[in-house]
Amino acid sequence: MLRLRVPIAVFRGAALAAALALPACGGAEAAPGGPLRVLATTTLLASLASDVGRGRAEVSSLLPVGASPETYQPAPADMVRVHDAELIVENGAGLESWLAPMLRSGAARTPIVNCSDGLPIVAANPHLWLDPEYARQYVSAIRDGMIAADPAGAAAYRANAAALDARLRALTARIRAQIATIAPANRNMIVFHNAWLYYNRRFELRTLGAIVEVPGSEPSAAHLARLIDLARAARVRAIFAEPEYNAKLVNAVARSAGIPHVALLYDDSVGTSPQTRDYVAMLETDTATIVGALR
Amino acid sequence: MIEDLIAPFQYDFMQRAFIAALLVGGLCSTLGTYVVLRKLSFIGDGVAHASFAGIVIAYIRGWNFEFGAAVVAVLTALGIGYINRRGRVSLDTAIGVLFTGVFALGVFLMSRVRTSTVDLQDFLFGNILGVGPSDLWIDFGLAAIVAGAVAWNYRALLFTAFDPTVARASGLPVVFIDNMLLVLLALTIVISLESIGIILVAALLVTPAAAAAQVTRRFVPMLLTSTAIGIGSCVGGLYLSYYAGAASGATIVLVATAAFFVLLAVGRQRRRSGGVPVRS
Repeated sequence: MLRLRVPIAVFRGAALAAALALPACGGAEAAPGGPLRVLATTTLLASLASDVGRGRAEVSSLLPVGASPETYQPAPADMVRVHDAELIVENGAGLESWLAPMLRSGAARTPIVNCSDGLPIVAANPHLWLDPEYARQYVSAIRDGMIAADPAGAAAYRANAAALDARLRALTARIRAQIATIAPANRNMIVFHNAWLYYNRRFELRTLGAIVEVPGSEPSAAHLARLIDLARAARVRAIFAEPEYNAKLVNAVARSAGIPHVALLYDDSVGTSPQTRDYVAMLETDTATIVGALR
Repeated sequence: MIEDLIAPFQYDFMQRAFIAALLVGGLCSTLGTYVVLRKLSFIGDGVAHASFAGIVIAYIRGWNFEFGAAVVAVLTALGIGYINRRGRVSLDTAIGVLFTGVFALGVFLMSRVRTSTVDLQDFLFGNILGVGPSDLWIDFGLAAIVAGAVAWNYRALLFTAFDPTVARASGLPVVFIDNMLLVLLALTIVISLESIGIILVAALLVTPAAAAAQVTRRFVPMLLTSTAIGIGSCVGGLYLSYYAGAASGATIVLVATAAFFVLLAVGRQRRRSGGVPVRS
């Protein structure tokens, strides 16, 4: 998500053009009696939506596991899936800049749930989903969207959403208890990209810095030097990164600062293991990773 | 002043960046002399993109990424030479045909992999600030191999670079030399790419040699000037980027570009005053 890929951008444009050249098939018609076809943009939204829609909706994720929502490029098959969806679930907050052109080419009437609508977005950072309290808002937004698209299922969606809401509340409490075991002086994180802003605000951790501050930009040597100084001064215990991104810069900073580099945080996408495959499990695993590294 | 020169070295990532700059900067700008003389200017970009297909194939088959990238880069380079000899097209056209074709193969294969757990393009492009100790050993080994091959075939390379037709007529193994050069270039590009990133590799293979060509037409001075400009741009650009708070790769390229324009002006001045004979 950060490197210079200027020449490749040309091909990305071409891929989008090819995708848009598909014959417009108009708005999707609900198949009578069939499940509600819900398309979530990311794997994490799909995890929440499939819990809310359990028993009535067929939820899939547009992005595959491990793909960066910041650098995604649609293939024709993805266009077909957008056209066929009866409900689209997006994060909003600027995460899916590629979605609007896909919708304009024919699926303009498909209802869209913008999960972050109404939530306080800080510094244009879209990673609101990593705060489980905000995820509860996501769940109500998804529930309302599903009820509007499929009123006959209202009771089921309400019951599913209430059950998930209770799980998320319990999750918040468990994470809080876990983080409480870290001494306050050790609650400092340096991260690869600032996905953890909302999580850290909720659970009173501090993000001292991010290696990549703006997605797609290259950090300067002075910025890396500043992070190393910060890490030494605040005795930061670890630098955190995601398994799907190139770890070379993270490694360089961690090595210079003499602290471990933990490349196992899942944040933009769920993982493939049972411990990271859905939202609640993923956040529990991430919390264990953070607590293990900082305590 | 002295403090300013030493300050970046207190961080070991900067120490490694400077060593990589010396090694890879020197290597690319030395090979750059051949690149510019043989009109291979887009080989850096071309091989870099082609090697993406190698990474995708390696990912699908479960091979080592670097191995996959190197194999596809070398095959692409040999393919460029073959098309150039058999297809009656110039080297730059051969590069254009193969680079887009092989890169498209990578994009095609990638688009069919629906469950990738890593961002493959991310693994293709390094950053000079992220150079690790193992990268430095690999860079060092590569520099030694390339320097050895260039020294060993120095005369043949010289003739082939300036005039392949005459070189062939005088019985030199031009095809072998061409292929060796293309393979060396492919390996240099692929390894440098993972170490210092695409923009630096593409620029260092062209700009220092093009700058050197403004002030000399003789082979050895051109080679030495190009290497000096390459190393100078890398070291100067790294310092500048550190104090300007800017991306290091881009700053190094801009310093090399500035050096090119300075030598362009110097060359014009000297030709006007009759200092350097103009080759027509």
